[in-house]
Amino acid sequence: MGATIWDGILLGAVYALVATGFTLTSVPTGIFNFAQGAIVVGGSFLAYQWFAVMRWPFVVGLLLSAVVGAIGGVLCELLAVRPLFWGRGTFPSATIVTLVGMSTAYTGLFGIKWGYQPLSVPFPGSAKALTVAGLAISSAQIVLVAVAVVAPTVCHFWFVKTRRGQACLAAAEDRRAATLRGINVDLMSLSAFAIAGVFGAVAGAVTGPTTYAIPTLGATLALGGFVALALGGQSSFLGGLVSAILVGLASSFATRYLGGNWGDIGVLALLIITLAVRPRGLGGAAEVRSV
Amino acid sequence: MSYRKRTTVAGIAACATVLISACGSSGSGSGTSGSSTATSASSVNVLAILDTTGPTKAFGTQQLAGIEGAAKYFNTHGGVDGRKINVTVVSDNGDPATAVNDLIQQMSTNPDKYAMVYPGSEGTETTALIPVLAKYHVIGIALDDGSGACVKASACPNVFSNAGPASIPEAEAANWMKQKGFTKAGVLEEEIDFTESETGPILSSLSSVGIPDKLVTFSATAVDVTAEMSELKSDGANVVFAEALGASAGYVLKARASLNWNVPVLFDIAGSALDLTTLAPAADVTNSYQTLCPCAVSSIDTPGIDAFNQLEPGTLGPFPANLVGDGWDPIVLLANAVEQAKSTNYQALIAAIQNLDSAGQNDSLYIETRHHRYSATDHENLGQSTSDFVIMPAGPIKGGQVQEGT
Repeated sequence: MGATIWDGILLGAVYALVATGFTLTSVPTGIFNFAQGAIVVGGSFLAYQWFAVMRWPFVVGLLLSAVVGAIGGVLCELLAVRPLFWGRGTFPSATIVTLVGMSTAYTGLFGIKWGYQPLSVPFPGSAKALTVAGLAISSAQIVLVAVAVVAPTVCHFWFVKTRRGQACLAAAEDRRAATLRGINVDLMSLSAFAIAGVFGAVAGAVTGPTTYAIPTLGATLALGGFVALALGGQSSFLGGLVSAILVGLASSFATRYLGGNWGDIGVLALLIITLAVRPRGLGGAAEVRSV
Repeated sequence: MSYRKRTTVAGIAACATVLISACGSSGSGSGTSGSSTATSASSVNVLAILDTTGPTKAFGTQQLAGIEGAAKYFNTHGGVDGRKINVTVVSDNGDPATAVNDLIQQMSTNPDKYAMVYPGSEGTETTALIPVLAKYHVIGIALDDGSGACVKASACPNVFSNAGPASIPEAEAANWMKQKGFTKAGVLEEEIDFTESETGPILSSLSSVGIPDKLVTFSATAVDVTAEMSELKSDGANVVFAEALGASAGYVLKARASLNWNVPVLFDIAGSALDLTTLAPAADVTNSYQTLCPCAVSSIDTPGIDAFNQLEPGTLGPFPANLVGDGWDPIVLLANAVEQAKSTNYQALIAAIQNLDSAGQNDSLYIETRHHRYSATDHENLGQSTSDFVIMPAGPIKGGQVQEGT
C-alpha cells in the first residue's frame, strides 16, 4: 500500500509541475500552452546536457536552462499564439492546434539533437536514500515532491496577494477592458509564456532524474497535466496541485489493483465523476454573471 | 500594423510553425524521402522501408547499417549471381500507415523494380505491409512478424520473418531460471504491444519447467514501478522477468533499489535492446541479466560481425549487435535465395526460400539467427532455436558487444 501511494504521489508531482506551467499561462492569457509538456521534457534534456555531458556547475546550468526555457516559451507565444489574434475575428481556441504543433516541433528537435533513447539525468544532490516504511526514497524524489508542492502554492499567493498578479487576473477576465485600463496585454502575454517557459525548463531538471529524458514523454505529460487542470479547476494553482496528486493516485491504485491497462481508465473515471458532481473542478470558483 | 500586413505576417508565422512541426516530426521533411540508387535491371534491387527519422530511429539506423553493410559485402565479393545489390531507402517515421503509403508510392511508380522489400523497423510496420506486399507481388524479408502474422504462410504468402516463434526467447529464459534453481518467478509486464505479446509465451514456458509465477502489469505512462515490484516481493518471487522497453527498464532497476531487494532481474529482448548501465547507477544494475543473441557476446565468434566490422568500422555503437543483424540477415537470406534460384523472379524467390539448400540455411554470415529454414506452410524462421539466445549479466555495450557485468 505504501509503495502504491508513493508511486501515485511521484506521478502526481510530475503532473502538478506541468499543470502549474499550464496555469502560469492560462491565468493571464486564458490560453493553455499545450507545448508546456515538451518544454518540461526540454528542461530534462538540457539538464542532461549541462550536468552529464558538459559537467557544468549546477547553478550555471540551471540559469542557462531558464534562459533557454524562456526563449522556448516566447517562441510559442510569437509563432503559435499572437498571429491568431491579428485577424478581424480572434479564435483563442485555435491556439490549441498551433500549440500542439509547437509541441510536436519541439519533440522532433529534441529527437534530432539527443535521439529517442532514454537518457539518465543526473541529480546534483545527495545520492543517499531515506528509508520510510521499507521504501528507500531518493533525494531526487523528495526534491521533486517538494518543488511540486511549493511552486503552485507560491504562484497562488503571488496572483492573489500582489498588485501585478491581480492585473494578470484582470487581463484574463477581459482582455479589451484590461487594455483600456492601461495594462499592456501583449507584453503580459509574452511575459506569461516566458515565465512558464522558465518554470518548465527548471521543472524538467527536477523531474528528469525520476522520469529520464525522452522526447516522446512531452505528450504524456501534457495530457496528464491537462487532466489535472481540468479536474482542479482552470486557473487554480492549488486545485491543480491537489488534483494532480489525485490523478497520480488514481492511476497508481487502478494499475496496482486492476492492472496496467486500467491506469488511464481510472484517471478518466475520476475526471468524469468529479466534473459531473462539480463542473468547475475542485478549485475553480463559481462564475457570477449578471443578466 | 495594417490588417493586410498583419494577415501576411500571420500567414508567414503559421507557415513557419507548420514547417518547424513537419521538420520535427519526420526529420527528413517527408516520410517518403529517400535516396534512390537502384535502376539497373541487371542488379538486385532492395527497397528498405524503416524508421531513420522517427521515435525508433536509433534501431532503424542500426538496421540500415546492417542492410547497407551486407549489400556492400556482396558487392565487393562479386555480387549475387553476378549482380550488384542496390538499396533504396525510405523512412516511414516508425509509423505503419506511413510505411504502407511509402510502399504504395514506390511500387506504383516502379512495379517491377524491386526483388525484395525490408518491411519496417518493428513488427507493427511489417504487419501493416503484408497485404500490400501481397498485392504488388514482391517478397518481404522482415526482422520479425509482429505477433506471429507469418506462422501461417497462407496469411503471409510472400513475407518471411528472420525471427522464429515468439516463444523461443521466453523458453530460454525459463530454462535459465530452472538451471539457476529459482522457485518462484515474478513477471513484470509493461502494457505495450511488444511486451504484451511475450507474456503468454513466458507464462507457458515457466509452467512447462515447473516454476510458479506471479504476473503484475504496469501502465506505459508510469514513471515509477515500486508498487508493482513490491507486490512481487510480497508474493515471494525470487527472480523477476521484466518485460520493459526503454526507460521502463530503468524504472524497474530503480524500484528494486528502492525496495532494498536484491532479487535477480532478467530483462526480455526489449529490455535488453539498450545499455542498462546508462539508465541506473552501477550498483543498481548488478544482479540483472539481459537476453541477447550470441552475436552481442564478444567471447562468441560471429563471422558476420567480423565482416561487418571490416566494411563499416566503428558503426557498431552502444546497441547490441543483433540490431545490425536485423538488417544484415535478410540480405544474406536474399543473396542465398537468388543464388539458389538463379533469378530474382517473385515466384522463384519464394520457392527458393521455402526450400533453402544447406548452404542457404546455415550460411556462417548470418549474424542474429544462425540458421534459416522456412516451409510452404510456415514463414517464420523454423531454424531459430534457444541456442540463438544467450543470457548474461548486464553490462556496458561497446562496439555492439555487451561487456559482461556482475
